[in-house]
Amino acid sequence: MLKLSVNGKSRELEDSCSLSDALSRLGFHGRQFAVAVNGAFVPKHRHPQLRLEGGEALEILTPMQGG
Amino acid sequence: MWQVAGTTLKSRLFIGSALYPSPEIMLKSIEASGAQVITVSLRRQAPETDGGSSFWDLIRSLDVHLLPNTAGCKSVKEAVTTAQMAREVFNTHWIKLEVIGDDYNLQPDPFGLLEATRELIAQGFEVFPYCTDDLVLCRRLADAGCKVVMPWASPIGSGQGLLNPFNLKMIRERLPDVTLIIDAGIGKPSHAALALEMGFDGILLNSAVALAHDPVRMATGFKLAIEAGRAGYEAGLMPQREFASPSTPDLGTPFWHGEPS
Repeated sequence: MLKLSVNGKSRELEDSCSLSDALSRLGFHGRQFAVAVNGAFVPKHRHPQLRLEGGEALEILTPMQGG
Repeated sequence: MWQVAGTTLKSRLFIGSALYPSPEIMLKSIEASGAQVITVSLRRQAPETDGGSSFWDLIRSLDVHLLPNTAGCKSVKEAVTTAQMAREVFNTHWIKLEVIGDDYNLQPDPFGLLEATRELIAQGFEVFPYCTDDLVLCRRLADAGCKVVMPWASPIGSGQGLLNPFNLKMIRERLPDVTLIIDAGIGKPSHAALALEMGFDGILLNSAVALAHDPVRMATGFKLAIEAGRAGYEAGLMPQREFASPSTPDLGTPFWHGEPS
């Protein structure tokens, strides 16, 4: 099992995978979002190459109203 | 027409997209305000609960410039990372930089703000820093490369208006070549008009419109107040006097009983 923290909540995925795969499995495919892994921004073009090994903290942010 | 960070705009009002009673009223208010720059944000949202998709669709339907913020960030690292994420999501290198130093009044942390500003400018961002009305801080931000500096009028969402006009006047006078936008604390159209009369280049606000009984009408009020304030500044205000000075000529005053001199 791949244990992750996703936006502060514990999540488990079946096995080790790329960041792209993890985002798809988490339901973010096709949506407008940006990701930081362990506090560091990961640009979209690097999502397929970044392998998640477990224990990572994902911050996934989406557009929201703001002042 | 005026220039903001190399972009030509007609409106001197930047407006926020939060706190409106409904998305429809938000859209109508933005339209009524005439604003061409809209502030937006990034937040954690579960994909199963829309995940920001409807808001994104609404915002994309507007022909406006987006100014994402780093609201809620309390450290340089958080603010820099949020700015990088905002650049990718909103496809703009503009960032309204907020580094909050006090939870109670949401006062910016001047030290963290300056550090984050330098880092983001080095990364190619156009930084619009939300700061306090401190002349030296504003100057340091301009020296760091900010084309626009955004001192507060009073704490965010307080609606108290220009709490320290002396500080703001000093900033305007001492930084004549910096684009200065009053950000935060504006509560009513007269506050905005006063700031524009003082020579500030623009106003960024949200709550004053979104929380009004009739946000669309209030947006119109701010549009007109900002135009009025700017016209007053450009026209040149008359000097204030300590005492009365009649505007109607004395010559030929009716029923005057004095002797001709």
